[in-house]
Amino acid sequence: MAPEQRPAGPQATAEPALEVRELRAGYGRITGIDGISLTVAPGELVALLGANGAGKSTFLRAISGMIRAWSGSVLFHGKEVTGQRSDRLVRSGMAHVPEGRRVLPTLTVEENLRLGAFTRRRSGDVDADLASVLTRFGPLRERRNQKAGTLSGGEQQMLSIGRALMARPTILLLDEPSLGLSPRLVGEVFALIRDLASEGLTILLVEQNVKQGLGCADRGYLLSTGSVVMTGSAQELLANPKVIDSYLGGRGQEV
Amino acid sequence: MDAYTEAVVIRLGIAILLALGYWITAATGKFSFGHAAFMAIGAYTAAILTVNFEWSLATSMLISGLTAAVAGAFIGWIALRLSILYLAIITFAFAEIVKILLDSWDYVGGASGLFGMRGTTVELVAMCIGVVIVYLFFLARSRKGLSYEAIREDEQAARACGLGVTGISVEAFAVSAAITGVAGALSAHETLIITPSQFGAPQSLLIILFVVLGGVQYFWGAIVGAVVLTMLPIWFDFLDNYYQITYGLLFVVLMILRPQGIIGRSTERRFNLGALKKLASSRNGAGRDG
Repeated sequence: MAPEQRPAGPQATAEPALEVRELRAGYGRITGIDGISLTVAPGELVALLGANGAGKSTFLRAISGMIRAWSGSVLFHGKEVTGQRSDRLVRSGMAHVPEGRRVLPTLTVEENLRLGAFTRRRSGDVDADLASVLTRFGPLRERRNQKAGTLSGGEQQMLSIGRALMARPTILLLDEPSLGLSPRLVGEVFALIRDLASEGLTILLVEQNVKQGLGCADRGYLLSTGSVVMTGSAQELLANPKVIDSYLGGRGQEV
Repeated sequence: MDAYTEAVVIRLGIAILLALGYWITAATGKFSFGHAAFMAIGAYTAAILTVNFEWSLATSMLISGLTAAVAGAFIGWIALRLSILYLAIITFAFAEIVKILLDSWDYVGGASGLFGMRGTTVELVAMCIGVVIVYLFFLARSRKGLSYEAIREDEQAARACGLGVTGISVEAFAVSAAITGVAGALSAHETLIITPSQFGAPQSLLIILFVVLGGVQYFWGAIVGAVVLTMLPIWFDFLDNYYQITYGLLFVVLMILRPQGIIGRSTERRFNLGALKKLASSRNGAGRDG
């Protein structure tokens, strides 16, 4: 046998953090996603991009056990987890930040964050993580005992991400974090996502905003009506005339 | 305490126990429409044990609670993984089935009922309420209490937090059924005769009204609801035939003025304009799901 070689860079690791094969899912008889395959290497930030109704949220929900997949498989760190219950997946390190923030409005900021750590038992560790999340998100610290419903949209998005971090995930599934935020806040949220990725967290990001999404991702998948139409590194995609034409408002070459 | 006061106090206590029991499942946002079935299961279990086997009432009540909990866990396990509409239908049907089975079961006297129970005491009722209140007091401050509120407010968000929503709801439902079963046992030893018809839909509805009237936000809201609904018929006795009408009107007015119940903050947005507006705007945004 050849001596073990440690390749440089996270993407070269043998086993992907998340591997999805030919996943199909939908609601009732309506197909949402029609055979999507995708891989995310450990430490990688992958963006899944597409317009409204392309099936992005359905895809994330089928991965995280919120809805049942029709067919296909999901492998999490090489282990088959297709159709597993969402609470088991959170326990094994997959946290989903749902679309539209979904904080619990009648609970306080701190209670929301503590719920994020519901699957964990060691209360000492939870306290430490609570402190670190509150340090990361300054505005939340000041509003610690305030009801989450009284926060601004941006703060709610921060809380929603902070709550997911409380589960100590190895992978974060982010569903449309820029939705309904002002351009300045969108910038802040993406800066935060980049920070998390640079700290080594694996992230699968679903975005409608192709420019912002590719701007912070390592790799991207472009989705249209339930299937992947294009994939590649973020730079490749950003330079691709077709992408510029159909997603970034033109000024690319005619194809 | 004279016999009349004692009877009123015991009846009030049983109503409070029923309300508190129901509150536990309502706290997870799951409304049962057949809780009278668990009351019946508790009542018949205890009555069989005390009358036919001469067990003490206290021991029989424990068995009543256990039996009702098992039934509750079973029904919850079937119904709570589905939408709350299915829960309503399944619990309602379950209560009807229990009633029909009791009606045709000769061992417990069929439709003519079961009797021979000796009375219960104010102390026993008070003790049960005490135990339940202590439980709820600690529940409200615990992780579990927080998870109930999360499930009630937003099930999807609760799932995203890693809460095993179905498991938690089934557990709450079983505990709720257990308390209702104990209340049924006490009630059987207060009325001294039990018939299946006592445990029909009107009884289920009454239990729901205790909690809806009091408000689901805090458990003591359920106590207030139970006290008001038990005392109203006594206070409004002079209204005679007009009682039902007055009672109905009172309810309508209350639901308009305080949709969150007598107890509870008005920030709770249910059945009011804010909720409707929210619904309308989410309709407009429908299909945005990418």
